[in-house]
Amino acid sequence: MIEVKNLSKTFGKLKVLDALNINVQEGSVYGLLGPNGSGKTTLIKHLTGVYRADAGTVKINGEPVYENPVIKSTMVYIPDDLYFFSQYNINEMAKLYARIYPNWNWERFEVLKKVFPIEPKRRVIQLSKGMQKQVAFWLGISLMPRVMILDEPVDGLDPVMRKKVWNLILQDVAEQQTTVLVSSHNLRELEDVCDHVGILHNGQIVVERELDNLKSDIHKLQVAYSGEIPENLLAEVDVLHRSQNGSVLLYIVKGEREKLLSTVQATNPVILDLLPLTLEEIFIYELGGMGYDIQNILI
Amino acid sequence: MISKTSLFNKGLFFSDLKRFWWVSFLYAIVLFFNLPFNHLMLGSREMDEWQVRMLQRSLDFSGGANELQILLISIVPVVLAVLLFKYLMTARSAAMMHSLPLTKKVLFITHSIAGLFLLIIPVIFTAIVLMVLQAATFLQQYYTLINILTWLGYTLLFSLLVYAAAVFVGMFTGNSIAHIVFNYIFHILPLGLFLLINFTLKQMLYGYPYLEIRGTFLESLPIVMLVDGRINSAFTASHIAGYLVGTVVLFVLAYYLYRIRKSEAAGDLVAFPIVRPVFKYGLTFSFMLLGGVYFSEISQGDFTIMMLGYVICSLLGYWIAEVLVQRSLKVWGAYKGYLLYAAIVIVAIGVITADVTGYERRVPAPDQVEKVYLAPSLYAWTNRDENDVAISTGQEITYYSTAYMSGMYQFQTEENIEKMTMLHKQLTEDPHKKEGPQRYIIYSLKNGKTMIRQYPFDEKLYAQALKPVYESMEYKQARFPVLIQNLAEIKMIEINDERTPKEAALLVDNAQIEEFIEALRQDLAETTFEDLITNKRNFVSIEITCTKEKSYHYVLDENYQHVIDWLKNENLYDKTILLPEDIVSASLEKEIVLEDDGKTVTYAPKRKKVEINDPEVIKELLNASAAYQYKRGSEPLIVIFSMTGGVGRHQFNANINDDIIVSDKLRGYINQLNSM
Repeated sequence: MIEVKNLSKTFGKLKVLDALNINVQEGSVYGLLGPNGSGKTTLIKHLTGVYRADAGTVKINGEPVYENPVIKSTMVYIPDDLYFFSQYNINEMAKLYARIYPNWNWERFEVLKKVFPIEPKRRVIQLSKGMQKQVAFWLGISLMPRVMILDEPVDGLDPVMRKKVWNLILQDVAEQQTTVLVSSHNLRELEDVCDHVGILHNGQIVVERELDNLKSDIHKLQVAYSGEIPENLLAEVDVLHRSQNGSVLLYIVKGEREKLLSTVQATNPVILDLLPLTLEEIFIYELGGMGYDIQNILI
Repeated sequence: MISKTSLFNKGLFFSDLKRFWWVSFLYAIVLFFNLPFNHLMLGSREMDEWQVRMLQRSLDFSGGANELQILLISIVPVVLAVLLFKYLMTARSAAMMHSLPLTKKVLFITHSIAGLFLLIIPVIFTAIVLMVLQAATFLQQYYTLINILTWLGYTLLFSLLVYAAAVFVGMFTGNSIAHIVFNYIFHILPLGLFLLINFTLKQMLYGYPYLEIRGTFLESLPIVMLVDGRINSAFTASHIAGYLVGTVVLFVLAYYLYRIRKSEAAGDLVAFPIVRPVFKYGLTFSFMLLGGVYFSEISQGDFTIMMLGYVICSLLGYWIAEVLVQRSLKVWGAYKGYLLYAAIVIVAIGVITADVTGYERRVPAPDQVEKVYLAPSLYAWTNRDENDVAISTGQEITYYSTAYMSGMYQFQTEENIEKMTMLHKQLTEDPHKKEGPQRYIIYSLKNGKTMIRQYPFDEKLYAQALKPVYESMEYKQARFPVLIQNLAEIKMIEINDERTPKEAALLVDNAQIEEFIEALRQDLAETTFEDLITNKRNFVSIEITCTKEKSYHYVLDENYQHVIDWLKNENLYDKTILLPEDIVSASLEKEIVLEDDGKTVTYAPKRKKVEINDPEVIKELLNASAAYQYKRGSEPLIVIFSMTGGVGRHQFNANINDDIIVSDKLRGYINQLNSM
């Protein structure tokens, strides 16, 4: 559904995206992760047709997005920092959207009033940041999108509202095969909703996998030995991280679960635990391997 | 629903109207109170002729009654363009607008049309109100439907051009304040650069003329037209066509710029990276020239000080440009660009001042010159094809000879052309004399080219070349048209001495006129260079009237012996001209200055005063009063002549300089006065 090939973008002398590729299948929820300044918002602005690519292609449903009103009319873009016309109330915004988006659905708009407890006659810019975000979802979902591009979408929403909003989105994904690309730093939340993740670092996608797949490929290994630690322990395994706490060794390793277990068991550890990683841990250790790691700096 | 046409989006259009209707509304209100309402208020009272004219002028842009409208035309379209394209200026709004399912074409066209609509509606509304009132009320006696339509046409024409320019300029920037500033710079830039470059070259090249915008395309710029208030008089069909074409071209260019403009330019001072050096060096250059003008003015043209101004102001301009573009005050790293600029400027100044092209020394060979003009101002040169200059004072028009009014002479004879090139050569050879009034020497060359130079010089110092020229009939005929005027044209001649109460002599008899003109022509033919350049005051005027509207003014110099003799023969001299024996007494007076703060001088109510009855001294005072020259900072002596002749006793006031060389007797009186 979303297909980005060799996308490059430079701002002045700063290369923000460098021959980036992503692929999002229809009906999937794609989580876009990456450290601050890695180019997530720049990528998103290409996906929504705001930026024109310096090089490469950005296609949705097989068609280029830039200057393509047909594709853009089936998309909703909820940016991190929202913009509303200063004099408009919610009803007026809805009327404007109804005039501009061909698939606008008034029934849906009415139904959603139950989800979003905001008086529709209130001026949007006078609402709190969280409420403005609710308005953005309210309007965005009412225009019957095929694709949703969400940049830090639930930032500022209270926990109940987050749940409600995600329910609405996932309902659309399930029923309408809506495709969602979401960027967030809230990895716990993404873990619950995404089926795919891509990690963006230095303008490139460094990891792009199905989340389940990714999780079954990377593990946290805790071992302890009664005596000496065997010498060539895990010599043939891809170790992302190693630390020692007392006699307990902690490894983050890549590889097949069964194979790892058998390799380690052969060294007779007293303790052996092989645990799945949280998305947050994957993010930290994957990027740590690329030089973006947590360094304990004493201040 | 999406609009059927692919060029325009109704939803967006109505949203623009909804957001910015208040601009239109305010504009309509101001126009309503400035025009229809104002007319009703004015017209409901008794009006004098002047007020009627002002009322009519409020519709025709000929100046005087349109300041507010002109201000609105310069502001309202800009406000609308800035508001409508403000979304380009912040990242958030640019992202929102460009993520809508609309092409840039639709966005541009819809926003532009919304602006046009908001701009036009108040003007059309005002025109309709004016038409209704004109048809229904007493206002029809002051103006017609055509006047209203003309107002509508001019207002729309100018508004559209100003709006198109504002939209165009907006594409170059990502900042609303810069949008406003750049917009007005765009309007004055051609004019400003013309003046600055002209001034600069004049400082650097001896003989480079001060040029005027009259007769150049700069005169047609909307800002010049609006400020000059010449729309109704100087506006031609080609102006209208030019403005319309300009409007369309600006819109089309703006559209293409919008197409290639990147939305990430929001917030940048200059939206296109390629334009940034143009902005940076353009600002540096303009600052440099401006600094040069200022430093040159305050140092009375000192070249070193001017160069100091160049260095200081170009650095300042460069720094400001860098600060604005980089949005940081720490831009010291950019010094290399300035060094490059400075190197180029130093070379350019070197080339100009070393006069590589030979500009300063170039004097055309006399045989290449067809005509040569000598004139103190370009006005006469610009109007050289007109024989007479009409000076309009209300209903009456008085004609003066061009040469008489403006002192422009056009030489075609071989001898005069040769003398003029000789004068020019002398001027180029001693370029350090900068005294005397500025005069233009303009050659019309045989190859069709024109060569214009301007030098400050004192005629007295160049008598060798100028004497034969001024004493030639060619010069005299231009200065005194009576030399070649058709006698049959002359209806009346009036000779009047302003000093006396004696009645003016009126010549109406053809024979008398003929004899007088003959005498005058003889005197003029004999008059010398020294008399022609004298600054002496003449109190006796000769007015030659041809028709009711057309008359020529001359003066009767005391050296015009033929005329004086003729007047004496006709027994007119004593009856018309002040004779020394008419003067009974003279009173030499001097003001007592109480306070002089540099701006206003306060005098004591009573002057110091010396009575003089000596006829010799009185005669001397008469001469001194003719030779009086205004001198800054020196109080003149006042002399009051009391005379007989005419009806009753009469007094004539004149000034004399207190430093003139006079007889011991008069000096005694002056000393007496000064010691009081």
